[in-house]
Amino acid sequence: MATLTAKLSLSSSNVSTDNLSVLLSNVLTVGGDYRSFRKIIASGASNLETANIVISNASYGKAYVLLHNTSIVAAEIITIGENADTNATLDYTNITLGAGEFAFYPWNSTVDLVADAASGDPVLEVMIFEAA
Amino acid sequence: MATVKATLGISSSNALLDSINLSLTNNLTTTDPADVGRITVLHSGPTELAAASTGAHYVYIKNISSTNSKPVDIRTAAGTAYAQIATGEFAYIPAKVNLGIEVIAIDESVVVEYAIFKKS
Repeated sequence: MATLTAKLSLSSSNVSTDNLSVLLSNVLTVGGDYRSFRKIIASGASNLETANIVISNASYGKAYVLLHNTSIVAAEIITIGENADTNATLDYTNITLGAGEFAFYPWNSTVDLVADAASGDPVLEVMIFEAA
Repeated sequence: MATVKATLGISSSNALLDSINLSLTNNLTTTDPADVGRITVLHSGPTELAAASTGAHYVYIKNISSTNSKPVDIRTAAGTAYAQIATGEFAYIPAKVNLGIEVIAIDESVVVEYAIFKKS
């Protein structure tokens, strides 16, 4: 088994009248599969389940997932969800990544993780660490 | 409008043969309302952190339970779970517009800390 240290810092001088400074840190135990990759998320895919599947739940148990929309074009928004109908529409959605935005969370691995893009072909960077 | 600077660091010296050291920063443009808090999350029913009408928002949720080691499911307001945070774990999520965020504890109530910033 190995450990992964995840830290999140949130700070602001104007989100309220007091300064905001939050630092979260957690040492995660990982020991399963690991993968890091970049994937083009096509906005015109007719079958999201085959074209834009990011992570298959058949390949991983619970895992810590980093998703990063590397685009610098504001319209190239990536939506994360699930598509079991093998068509062009996500069955349900949960996360939206604007250009430059990222998410990090413990993915529950109950369904495939599928993406769609609002425009263009933005690149999604993905890191996945399977929990021990 | 306000700006919240989000920085994520991921590092490991033993997950791979080579070390991992990653840092990402994003300046988030936000607007009211903002909400930072700590609450007890029930297992008997979901606790709504952001209603489905909230719009898009950035959220972090951390399971800080000290009385048990039960996890918490993170779900849309419609009840679709997509993340689960064990004790000590956190999630940072840019949530999609008008889906909301709710949490529900598994088996026993736990305490979480959270912050929600509405996307401008």
